[in-house]
Amino acid sequence: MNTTAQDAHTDAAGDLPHTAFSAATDRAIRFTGEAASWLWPLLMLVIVVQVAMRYLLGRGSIMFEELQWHIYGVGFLIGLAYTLQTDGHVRVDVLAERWSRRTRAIIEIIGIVALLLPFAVAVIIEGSKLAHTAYLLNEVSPAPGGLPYRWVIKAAVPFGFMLLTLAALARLSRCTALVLGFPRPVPPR
Amino acid sequence: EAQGRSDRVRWSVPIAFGSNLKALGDTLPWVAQQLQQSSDGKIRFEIFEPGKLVPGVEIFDAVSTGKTDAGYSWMGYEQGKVPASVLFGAVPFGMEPWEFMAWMYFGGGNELLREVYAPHRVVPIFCGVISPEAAGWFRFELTSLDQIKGLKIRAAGLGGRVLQKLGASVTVLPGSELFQALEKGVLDATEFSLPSVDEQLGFYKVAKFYYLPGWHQPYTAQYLYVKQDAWEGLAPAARAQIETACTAGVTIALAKSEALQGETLRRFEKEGVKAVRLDDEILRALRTASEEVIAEESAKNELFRKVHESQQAFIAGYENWKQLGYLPRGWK
Amino acid sequence: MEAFEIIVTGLLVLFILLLFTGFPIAWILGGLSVAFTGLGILLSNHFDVDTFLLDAWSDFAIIADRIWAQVGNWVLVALPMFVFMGQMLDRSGVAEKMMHNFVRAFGRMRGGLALTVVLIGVLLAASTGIVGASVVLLAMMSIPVMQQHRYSRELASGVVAASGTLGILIPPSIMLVLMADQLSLPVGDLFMGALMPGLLLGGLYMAYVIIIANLKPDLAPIDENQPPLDWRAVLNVVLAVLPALALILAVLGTIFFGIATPTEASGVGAFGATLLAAANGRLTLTVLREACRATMHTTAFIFAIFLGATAFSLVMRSLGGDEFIADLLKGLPFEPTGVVIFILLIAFLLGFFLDWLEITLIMLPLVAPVVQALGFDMVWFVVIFAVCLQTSFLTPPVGFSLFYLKGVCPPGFTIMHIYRGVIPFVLLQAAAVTACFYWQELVLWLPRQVYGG
Ligand code: NA
Ligand code: NA
Repeated sequence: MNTTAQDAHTDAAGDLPHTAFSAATDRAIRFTGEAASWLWPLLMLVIVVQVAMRYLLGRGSIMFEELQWHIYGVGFLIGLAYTLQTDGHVRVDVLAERWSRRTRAIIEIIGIVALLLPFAVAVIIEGSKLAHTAYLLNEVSPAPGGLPYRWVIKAAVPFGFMLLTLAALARLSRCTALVLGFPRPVPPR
Repeated sequence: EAQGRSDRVRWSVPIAFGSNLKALGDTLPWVAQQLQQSSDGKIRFEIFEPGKLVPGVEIFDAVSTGKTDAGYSWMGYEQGKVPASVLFGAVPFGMEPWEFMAWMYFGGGNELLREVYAPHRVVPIFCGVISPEAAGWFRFELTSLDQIKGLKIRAAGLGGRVLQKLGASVTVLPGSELFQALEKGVLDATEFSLPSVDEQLGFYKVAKFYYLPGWHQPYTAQYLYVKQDAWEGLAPAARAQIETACTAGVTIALAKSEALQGETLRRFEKEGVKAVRLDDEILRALRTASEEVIAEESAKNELFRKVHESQQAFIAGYENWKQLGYLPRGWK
Repeated sequence: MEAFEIIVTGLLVLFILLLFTGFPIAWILGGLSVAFTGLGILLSNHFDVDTFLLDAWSDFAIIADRIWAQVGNWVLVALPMFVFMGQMLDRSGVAEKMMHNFVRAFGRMRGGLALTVVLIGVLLAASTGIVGASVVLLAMMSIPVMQQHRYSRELASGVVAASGTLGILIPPSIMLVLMADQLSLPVGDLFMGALMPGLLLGGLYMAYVIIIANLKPDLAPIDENQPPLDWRAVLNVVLAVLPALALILAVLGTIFFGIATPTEASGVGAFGATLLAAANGRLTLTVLREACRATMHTTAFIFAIFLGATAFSLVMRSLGGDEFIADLLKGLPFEPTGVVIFILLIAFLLGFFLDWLEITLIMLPLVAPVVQALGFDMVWFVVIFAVCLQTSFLTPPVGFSLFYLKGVCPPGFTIMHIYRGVIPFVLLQAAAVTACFYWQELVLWLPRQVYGG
């Protein structure tokens, strides 16, 4: 009965070999992803406390309200890379299922280089500007009693996409290892 | 800009309020239409409804970072970055709309406005002001100051801070949840906008006490934010045309919003809504708290203090005329 | 055709072709938006081609503000919370016990499990407006059980996708709020107006399940080894269903009694499910960690699609996609009923390729004044329009419910099973639209009762 996104997915490019680079990167991505996944029960507690305070004591807090979307924003942005690493992003695999491992790896290489990386890099560049401006202006929440240091949460956008870029490069190296034998495949840990 | 000053203008202009909202949202579309006609089609604004390019609250950012040439918004969404902005948008217990116009055009307001926005590479043009908002929709009758304590109300900005000082449980619930929250009682009350806009959104169906006046927003001003480079690239004629059209926009917005409210309040009566004036005791407590909040902001930010002082000086100079020059309200 | 119209068509066609390469949907959307920005800049600056508004990088740079707006979209907090709730129900054994007992109860009734899915789907729809949350939650709870009972994959995925999509129609509904905003209609009237059509759809789904399960028993086999249903079994069913039902009612109750907003109620539901797990003695550190990880994966794949889609729609809009569709509408016939049918048809067809948000933003402001001028009731029109757009979640190739479902289905479910599975449900959607079209009271009666004329 326990079905989750990660075990639901057969790897699109079959069992890809690991590379030294991918092994190290994947470890780091897994670590951040797993650490960040504890944000979800935290978010749950923040909501419950906020509801209880407002309903029982008539004392809601805008800080708690903003904390909710701050937590969820950081959570899903870090999750992008974590889910890429376990190949959990949704694919339409009607045709791909019938193709060889090699063909699928080639498509994956083209997709990562031509589609994913340009998008990720564009968001990193523009998102960093957004965070930088917030930092320069010492931006705070416009809501009464909202959270300060807006640049921190805005920086989560480029940060999440930097992790995504790393995860994508790791996967790229695994695909090229399969197709071109470069970088050299290493045995899984 | 490289070709020198241009009299041809094609700008993408996101707006903060839907153009279906009378006086609040339809001013810029009117201004754009006037500009296109008077310039013989040389000045064209491509208007983007809220959310099509960016949400209303992000318009200032989009213009100041040069991603759009212009935008139209209430001034104050950027108060987290530009604290003084809110003084140009709406001030609790601040000026009345025409008093604000007088300060903007002849009391030094416009000069201060340009000064506040110059570091952000934005040229704001005063382009609409509307009648006072309402204090809000309440699910029950508000008879004493004590009821403000623990009152679950949605309110933004400085007004929200004032209510917090009086012990209210203030929230900034997203607009999409507002109606249901008020209907089911997650909220006791919410402020939103002008009576005519509130009517368009249907709050009268779920809350039957409507309190006035909108102490938190006696005037509500909107601006055409223009990217500085784009403004500097304009030929003098185009600039003059845009400024003139916006001045007309100020007039039209105020005239339209004044014209609509009386009829709206009468329709509320028919729907079983009691439109009531806030109790003097409550108003006085709100005023004291407002002064505290504004004093706190002035202490934190130099430009905020400077603009506020200019407004206060103007109000002081105008006070005797305001008292003597008009028939007293309610005089028969 | 204008140059920009050719480019927009190219963008859409290329998107659909690339979908079938099997590369993740989210990155196809995002990547194409960057590529077409580049193309737009190149064509307009060097080849003097009219690319509408897309002629500089700054036109795309606004993506950062749009992604930031997603982060600040508080309402979407409900998505991870409902996913977490599902994880907890699943791992605590509550969901499993419930579904197995439903099998006991409905063991001799053909399609019983699928009927349960529709029922839970309607209850979920009343507590959230986030389709991704409902689809994923329903799928987690029911697909493995239906698979165990040898339901056809098509029927299983069709019923989950369709029932999960009811959330966008049955209030609370973000879609109706946005439409109310755009047209200055009272949102309460739209909420009440959509309730009956939403329930009607639930009823149609159930009727279909019962009929097809009896016509083609292979699709939803019954367990021949089931012991007969005695009162003891009934008691067990009630006991097993009680916790989960109580939880769902608690979520609905916090909304109904004004304790929490629908967004907050999702967190309350997650908390309740965690308590249930603890009460069952299943709340170990491992279970909690696994639930957290799985929530992370599911949330992230859905948001990746959101982010890709916001980039894609930005570029489509800058390339004049809105004007393109506006031109389509110029063919409006003049006969009043024909106008409405024509509009609904276009909305339905656009739904194959675009999502509800885009269609609403583009079409509604254009067609609403026309429909109003013809004297139709706007609440009625908007609700039917909403049912049409709800269908866009289900229509292949670009149906977001189908993608969410694909993301959480067990191995062995391909997108083709899902595509085939929703076809009957899309036809039921059309039936509901037709019903509301001919019996306006289906929409208009309830708002009148609740809020008066
Ligand atoms: Na719903
Ligand atoms: Na579709």
